[in-house]
Amino acid sequence: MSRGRRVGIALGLVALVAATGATGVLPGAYADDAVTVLDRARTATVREDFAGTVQIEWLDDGGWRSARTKVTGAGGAVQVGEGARQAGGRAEDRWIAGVTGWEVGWDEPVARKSPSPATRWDLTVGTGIPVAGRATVMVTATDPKTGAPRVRAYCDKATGVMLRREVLDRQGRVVRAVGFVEVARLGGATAVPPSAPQVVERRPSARGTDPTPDTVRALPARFAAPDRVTGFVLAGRYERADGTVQLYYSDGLFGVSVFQQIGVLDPGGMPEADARVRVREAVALGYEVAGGSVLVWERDGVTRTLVSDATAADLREFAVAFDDRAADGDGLVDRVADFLFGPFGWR
Amino acid sequence: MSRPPIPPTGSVDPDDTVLSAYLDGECTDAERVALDARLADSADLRAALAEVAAARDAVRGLPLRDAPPGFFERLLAEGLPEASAAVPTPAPVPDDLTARRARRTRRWTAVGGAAAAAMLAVVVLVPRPASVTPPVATFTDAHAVRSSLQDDVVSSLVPLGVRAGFRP
Repeated sequence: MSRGRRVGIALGLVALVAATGATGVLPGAYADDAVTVLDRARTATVREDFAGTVQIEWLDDGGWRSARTKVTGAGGAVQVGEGARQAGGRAEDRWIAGVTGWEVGWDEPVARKSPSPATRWDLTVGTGIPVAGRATVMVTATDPKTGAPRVRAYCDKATGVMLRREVLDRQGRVVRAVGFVEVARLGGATAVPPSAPQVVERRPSARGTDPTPDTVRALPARFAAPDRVTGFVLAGRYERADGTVQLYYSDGLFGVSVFQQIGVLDPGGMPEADARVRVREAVALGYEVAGGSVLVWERDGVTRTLVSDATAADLREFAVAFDDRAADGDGLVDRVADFLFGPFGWR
Repeated sequence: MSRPPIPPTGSVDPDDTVLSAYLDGECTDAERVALDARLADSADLRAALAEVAAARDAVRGLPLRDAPPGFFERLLAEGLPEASAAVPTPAPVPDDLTARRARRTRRWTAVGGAAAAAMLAVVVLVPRPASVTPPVATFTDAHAVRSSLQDDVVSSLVPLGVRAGFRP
């Protein structure tokens, strides 16, 4: 190899390293690596013990709002919050602290897997900013149509635990963020797992808001359950004690829950809305809260409540598409296939 | 509700109740034969039958509507207006014209009554869907719980550890 060629290759490598440093993207670390990082983050809280303080920030019509809470993880059990605002999880069980004590929040197996986030989003891995003093790897999910980043996830370099997650709007601005602001302990599953919470029985009068749903194979005729909605895939359908149906959709990055109730919406009993948006012919009440974006509207005697960690604009797009599909109704073939294969997650 | 029998041929015209029964197929064979004969002879009776048929179709074509919220409460509270107070005294008219007007008035009164009865039946008998107030804070928690099973547990469950942010 001539001297000139060696110099050219060296300059090229220097330029590549410089470009990599400028953008924070690791060479060769794209979708597959990003999916691996996200998968590792999902299971890291089971492998690793941790303790610290997490801050959640969200943007509503009055500006930024924020709240902090304690989190701990030990022996695969996660606990969030204190006192009457508390939740816990281990494997596929979830508990919520109620006024009378711990209540079951979830005890159903999740049969259907989420789609890969790489199906809908362009994923890249890069060096992230330090979070609570910890070095991180950053996964960025970008909308392939607009090139705008929509999610940035910062995962601890050493343990893989997700330390911060930012949701961005279509213009690339952060609108919601959850992240550690203090890490007291992280790494090494050495602690003895805590015993499961002592669950209290709910009083009959409180069953109207029972948070524990049951998996169902088929839904009553008036409830819509399209299998796909704007890139989201139906990942579960559940029925609650009061007859409310919950559908859960996922695109691998965001989740959308669709709650359906028979009855016309009584807006007088609702909290003050942050926004009123049009969902086809209906006017929906919109909320921005710690748990995400919420839309409530009624059509043909069925009231629908959508909750998602996606942005308000994305949720509205989902709502319009869902409402459109609901008006058309599912075909007979869809219903039969759902009934037969739904419980096995084969669709 | 009983209706008057169909008058024999040559007597006075049958009223709208009879014509309506004829259209609904509620006459006996003998009554139908008698009325068919009279319809064949009388252009006026055929016209009257056509009017009743048109009015009946119009009533049956009315869309189903629920009463607006508070309608019955207001109706019971305010009561029905005095009909006589709103109706002006008619001027004297010739006898045959009076008879025709009276017959037309009876016909439209019957049609109007039928329409009102139909509307009332729709409002009362068609079950109105119950109103619901979705427990949005509970639904938000339920979404967080379900989401935590497939996404990052900590970032999904954190909203359960803080106040949801709904304004009363």
